Amino acid sequence: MMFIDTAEQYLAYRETVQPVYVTGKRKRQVLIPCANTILARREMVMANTYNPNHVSDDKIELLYQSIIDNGFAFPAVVIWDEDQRLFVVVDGFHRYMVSGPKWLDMSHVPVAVLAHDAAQRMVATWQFNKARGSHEVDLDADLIRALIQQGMDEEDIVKHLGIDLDTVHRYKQVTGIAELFKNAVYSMAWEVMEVSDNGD
Amino acid sequence: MRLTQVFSNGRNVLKAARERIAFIFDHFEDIHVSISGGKDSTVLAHLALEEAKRRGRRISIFFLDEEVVYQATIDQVEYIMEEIAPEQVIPLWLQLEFYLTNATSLTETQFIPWEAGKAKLWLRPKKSYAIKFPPWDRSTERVADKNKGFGFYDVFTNFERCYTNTAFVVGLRGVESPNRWRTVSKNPASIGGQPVYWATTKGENFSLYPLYDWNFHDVWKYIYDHGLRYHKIYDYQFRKGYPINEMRISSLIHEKSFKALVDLPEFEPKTYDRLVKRAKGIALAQETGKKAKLFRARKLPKNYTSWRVYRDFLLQTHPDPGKRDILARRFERHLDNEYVARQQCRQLILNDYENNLPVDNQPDPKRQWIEYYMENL
Repeated sequence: MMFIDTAEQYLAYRETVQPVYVTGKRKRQVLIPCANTILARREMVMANTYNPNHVSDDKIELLYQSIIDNGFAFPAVVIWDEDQRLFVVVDGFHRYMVSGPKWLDMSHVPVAVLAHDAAQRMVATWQFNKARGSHEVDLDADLIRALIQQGMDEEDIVKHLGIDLDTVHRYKQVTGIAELFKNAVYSMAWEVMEVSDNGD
Repeated sequence: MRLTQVFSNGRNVLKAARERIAFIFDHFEDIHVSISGGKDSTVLAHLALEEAKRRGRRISIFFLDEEVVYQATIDQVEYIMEEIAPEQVIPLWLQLEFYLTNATSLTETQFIPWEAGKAKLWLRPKKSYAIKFPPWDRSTERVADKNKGFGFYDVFTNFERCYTNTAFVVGLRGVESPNRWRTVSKNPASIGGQPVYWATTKGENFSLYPLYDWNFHDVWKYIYDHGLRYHKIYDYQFRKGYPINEMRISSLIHEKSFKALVDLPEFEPKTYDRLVKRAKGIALAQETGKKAKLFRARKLPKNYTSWRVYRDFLLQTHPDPGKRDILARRFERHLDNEYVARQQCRQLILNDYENNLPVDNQPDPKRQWIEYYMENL
C-alpha cells in the first residue's frame, strides 16, 4: 500500500499509476478508482466548500462506531487540486471528518483520486449524495427484531445501529399500535341538547 | 335557547354508537357508509356491518378512489369490502376521472385520477367490481366551481343525487373536526319526527355522524378489542415517532400532503416509485418537504432581502400567466407588509391559486410590537 506524505511524492506516484478498468455490458470499460486507493497524510486532504449533504450528529456517531467495528472499508473520494497542491474531498467527507483529531485521529486516510474538473466534481458529489437509498421502515423493524431474536441486547443495538432506546422499543412492537390501547376505557357518551338560557 | 353538551349517565361511546346505528337501521332502508381506509371509518364500517348481520340486511360501502393513495389504503378498503361481512356489503368503489389539485407541480396543477389514455401509468389497475363511469345523468351534472372543473366533492354531490331518502353515514369525530361538527349540531335533521343533533339533511338525503363523541383512544380500543385489521401506515408512523393523536392517512398530492411525501419512500417505496412516474413535482416535494425553506416558506432564502422582494420575484417568474394573474389580483387586495408577504410566498410556491391555504391579511404583528415599544419605552 502506497503511503503519500508530500505533494512531490504524489506527483511522482501519479506518473507511474495505471488506471484500472473492468469490462461491463456492451464492452463498456468501467473505471475502478478504488483499485488505486492510496493512504494520504491527513493534512494533505481538505473538505470541499459546496457539499450540500447534511449528516445529523447521531449519524456521525454511528459512522464512528461503524469504522471502529468494520474498519475503513471505503476510501474517501477526492480530486487533486493543482493550485493548492492538496486533495479535495468529493465524497466521504464525514468519513474523512471521523478520521480527524476529534475522533479517531489517524495519521493517514485512504483516498481514491478522480481526474475531475470543478464542475464534474460538484456533479459527482451530488450523485454520490443522492444515489443513496433511504431505509424502509418495515425492513429496519425486521432487522431489529432479528437481532433481538439472535440474542443481541438492546444496549448493543443502541450502540451499533446509532438509534435511541425508544426507537428500539417502537421497532420491537410486533403487535402494533392497537395493542397500546387494550387497557383503555371507553369515554362517556354525550349528547347535544337544547336548554333555555336561564339554565333550567 | 342554546345548545349544550350533556353527558349521559353511565353510557359509554360504544353503547351510544350502537344505539345510534340501530336508530339509523330503524329509520332508513338505504344506508351508505363512507370509508377512507382510515381508522375511524374502519370502526364505523365494522359497527354498521355487525348491525346489518344482526338484521340480515345489506348496506352500501362507499369509497371514492383517488388513485394516488397508499397501497395500504387499498388493502384496508379491500378488507372492509370483502372480508368483514361480504354478504352484507354492496360495494360502491368509485374509480372515475375528476380533478385533484396537485400542489407539488407548477405546470401540472390539476391531476386527473384514472385519466383515460394513461392506464399504463396508473398506480394500479382498476378493481374488477369498481364503478368506472359516472352513474348519474351527465346532462344535469353539477360542478361547484366551473374554473376548477369537476372536483373531489363534486363526485360526492352528483353521486348522492342518484339517491333519495338515503342515510349517508360518515365517521366524523367532533374532537377532530370542531368546525364541521359545530355546523352539524347547529342544523339538526328531523328524523322520525324528532331533532337529531348528529345528523343534517343533504338534498333529499341525510348525513349522519354516529361516532361524533368518540376520542382517538376509543377508536383504537375498539380496533384492539375486536381484532380488526387497520391501515398499515399507522404502525409506520408510530415507529417513526409520530404522536399518536397526530397520526393521519393523508392524501399524497394535496397542499397539506408534503409531510406524507417525505416519509413515503420509507413507508412504501414501490408506491413512491410509481407516483414519481405518474405525477409531476413529486420528487422535488419529497426532497424538500421537510426542509422549512422551500415549500413551507418559513425562512427567507438568503439571496432575498425581504419577503416582499421574494414575492415579486416569484410572481414575475411564475410559469403560468393565467394562474399568475389570479394570484396577483388576490394580492392587490392584501395589506403590504412582511407578515402578509411571507404567506403570499407560500401561496406562490404551492401554486395555491385556489386559495386553499388562505392568507391571514393582518398588520404585521412584529411591526406592531416594535411600534408599541418605540412609543412606550
